[in-house]
Amino acid sequence: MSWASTIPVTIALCWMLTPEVMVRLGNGVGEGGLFFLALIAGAALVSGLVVIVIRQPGLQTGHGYEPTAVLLRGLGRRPAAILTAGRTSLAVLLPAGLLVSAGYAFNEVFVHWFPNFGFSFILLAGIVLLHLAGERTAQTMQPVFVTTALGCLFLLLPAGLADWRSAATAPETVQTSLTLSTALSPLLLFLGYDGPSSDNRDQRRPALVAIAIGALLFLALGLVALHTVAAARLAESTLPHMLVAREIAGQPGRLLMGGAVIAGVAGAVNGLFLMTGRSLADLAGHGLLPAVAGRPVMMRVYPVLFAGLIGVCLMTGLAGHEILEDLIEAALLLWLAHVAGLCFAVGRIAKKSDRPTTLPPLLASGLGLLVLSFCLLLAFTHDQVLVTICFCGAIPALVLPFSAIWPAKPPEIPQNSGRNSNP
Amino acid sequence: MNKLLVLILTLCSFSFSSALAADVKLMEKEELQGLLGTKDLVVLDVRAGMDWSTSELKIKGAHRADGADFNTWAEKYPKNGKLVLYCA
Repeated sequence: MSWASTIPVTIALCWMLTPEVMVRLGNGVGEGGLFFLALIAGAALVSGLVVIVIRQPGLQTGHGYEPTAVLLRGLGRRPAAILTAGRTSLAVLLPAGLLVSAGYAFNEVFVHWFPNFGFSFILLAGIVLLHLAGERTAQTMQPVFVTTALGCLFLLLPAGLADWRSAATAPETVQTSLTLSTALSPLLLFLGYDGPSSDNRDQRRPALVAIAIGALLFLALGLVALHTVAAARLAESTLPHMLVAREIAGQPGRLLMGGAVIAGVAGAVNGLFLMTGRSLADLAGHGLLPAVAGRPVMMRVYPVLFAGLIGVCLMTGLAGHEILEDLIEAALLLWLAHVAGLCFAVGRIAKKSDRPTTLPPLLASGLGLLVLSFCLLLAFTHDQVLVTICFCGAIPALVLPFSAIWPAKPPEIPQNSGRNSNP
Repeated sequence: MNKLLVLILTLCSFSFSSALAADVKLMEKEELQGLLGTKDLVVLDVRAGMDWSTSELKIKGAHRADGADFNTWAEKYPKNGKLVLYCA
């Protein structure tokens, strides 16, 4: 496998290797034990099925795979704009939260005297510099971040599995209750497979490989966590992954997990900037944003804009407010809604098509309904349901007036609209 | 955590007035370490949101409190003890 062919896999993995996912995994395993791991396996299968449906080669345009184009063909202009804008909110909110995690990991695990926020800003600035150097540079660095995070985790796992064989080290298992929101959450852990790609080859394979890697990692980490730390402690901890790393290998374990956290955050921020910048360029390419938003130079401008907004969030102390976690949850649900929208769009495209398709339209629509049901259930079982509803409602409220005044005639897709030929 | 910023309010002379701001002192982590375990000490972790949840290092026995909600914790904890707030 060449370096270039690993790029789409590592972009699809960008969210799966974040500390946020590690926390959800640790808490979930603590609450539900082996049953939660079975739910993870089920979520991996559903996510794989979604990939097979939404990334069919027949849906690719001459520019590769464009989710915006699929939404536009299947659902129309306004739903396409709303769903893409909803996912765009993640590029600001999620990095803000993740950079806080990376800052604390650096300060508490590696260099105690270095201010945590200082490190968060340095990491953010480093990623912006990569994007200023060009989209290709940012893409090339993505496998470096992701393989570093994976390497740290896979170095920890053998030690954990060795401990597991020794019955004497198994902690006392206290059964805790699995809440509905935790039971529904595994589908969120695999997000990242719906991103755009400029590659004209079959785009199902890299996304499926990413899901398979994620599933194997989650199952292995979950099993090791269950056999090294008591379930109740895992369920209650705000950093269960650090707890597990410390139990497995002490200070070296913390160093490895700290490295995985920082590399995972770098990969997530870089990956989200790449995916979101490309989505905005695609929106412009299809006339849903002014043509200027699709110019190649904008692939350098977007990360600067995102970083500016993230910087404002951090400097105004948003990280110290409970609302940031609620907003991230809402943005993740919008990401899941984007996936559901893609499934519905594919269902409608297949239904309208004269040509026989390999996948029945009902399968796509059924998957869309399933994902949307999970999305709604997660929204209504969240502690701060009002924040979630307000945030999710704010996106169409912002997008619809814009789409009403924007000329209905779609402009021609600009040549080389922020895309390049790789990976 | 090296430069642990600690706000200390000596509640021995506690009177609920804004004039107390002049008595707010900073404490180094070494000083707090020496006090940990003493009977009249209450440590309040006033970090919130992800500042709290993403930090691995938490002082054992510290109570979580909203730093801005002065009235609640001023009423809750003994006024003749030493109250230490930490936020980083």
